[in-house]
Amino acid sequence: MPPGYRNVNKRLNDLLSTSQSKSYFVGAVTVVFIVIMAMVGILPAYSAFTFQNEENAKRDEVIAKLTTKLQISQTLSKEYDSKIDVVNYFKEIFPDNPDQNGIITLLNDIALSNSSFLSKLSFNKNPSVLFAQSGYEEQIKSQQVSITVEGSQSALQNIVNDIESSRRMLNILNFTLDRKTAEDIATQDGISHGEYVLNVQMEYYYYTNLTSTDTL
Amino acid sequence: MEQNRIFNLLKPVQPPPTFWDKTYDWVLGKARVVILVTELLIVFAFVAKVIVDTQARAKDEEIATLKSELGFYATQREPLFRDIQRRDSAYQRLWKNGAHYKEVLDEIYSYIQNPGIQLTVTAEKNRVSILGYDDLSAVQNLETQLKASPSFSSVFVDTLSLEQKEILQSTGQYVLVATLADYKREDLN
Repeated sequence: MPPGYRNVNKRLNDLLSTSQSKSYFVGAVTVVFIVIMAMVGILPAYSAFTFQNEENAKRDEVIAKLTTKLQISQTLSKEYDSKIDVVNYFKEIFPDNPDQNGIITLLNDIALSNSSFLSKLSFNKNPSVLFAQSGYEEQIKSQQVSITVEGSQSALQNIVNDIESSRRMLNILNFTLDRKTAEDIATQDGISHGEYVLNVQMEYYYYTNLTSTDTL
Repeated sequence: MEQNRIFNLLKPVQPPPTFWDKTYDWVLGKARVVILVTELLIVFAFVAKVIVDTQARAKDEEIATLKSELGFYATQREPLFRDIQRRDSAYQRLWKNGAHYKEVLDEIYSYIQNPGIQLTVTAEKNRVSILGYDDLSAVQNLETQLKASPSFSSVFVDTLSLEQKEILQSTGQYVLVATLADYKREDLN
């Protein structure tokens, strides 16, 4: 055994020869052990545990939000499918394109249902000044349409009402309800379409789709 | 010289423990407990870390699953819902800004006492013009009734022209101009 080692051994034995020194030694070793274990074992594990716990709490929030969104999407999807008729009707009355044929049919039907005669109908592709000044979003477009209808006073009043209440969204810009003169009636060659004339200038709207997909 | 062997069967008498002997025994016992507890704490800490890490992985998988399910709705369905939402909002706005003349028209004609007269009713935005040819008392009556109606905020006779022979008959051509109090549509039901 090397002499140095024997000296250390002897010194250690001398140090631990009494109960007092042995008590101090055991106490010191215990404290050192606790400190080292706390620093390299307990504290890092605890801080990692608490950090991961906080991260898990954030994950729980994300899961809750995603679950809610998924439920809403599923509910909306079911409702959309169950009310597809309503959706299609809505797109019919507020279509993607001008649909002038639809407007002609609608106005003609309104005139016929009120026993009146649609004598003139014309389109103007330019939107009205009122529309241009209203500041609507880009997707909303409009066209103007002018009609002349002949019929009785009450019938033409009803036509105004039918135009205003049409779900097809016909907005009356101006109208004139005029009683024909005797000369006007006389020049109709026996064909009478009523004593009154209604001239209406209105505009209708359509909704163009965005070109890019808009998602959350 | 022969050595005598002595057998001592008595338990050796130890000297009485001193204060430090007792202290040493106590410290040794307590130190064992402390070290054991410390090691148990370390074990618990690492076990807890393993548990939360496992939970984190499970939650990450759940998030990935939810996102993949939502991916379908985001690309296929959400654009449809958004389109309907925007379209509906635009429709309601257009509807509310639309004009409504039916009640006013009915009201004006209800005040016309002579249905056979020459009459032209013109409306544009919130302004209604009534061009007619009638008895002056009827014109006055019409003006009074329109002024009394809550449908009109102002009413005035813009033009009143009578020719010489019409003065005797108290008839003439008139233009009544009325401003509508409200000509917008009501909200959609």
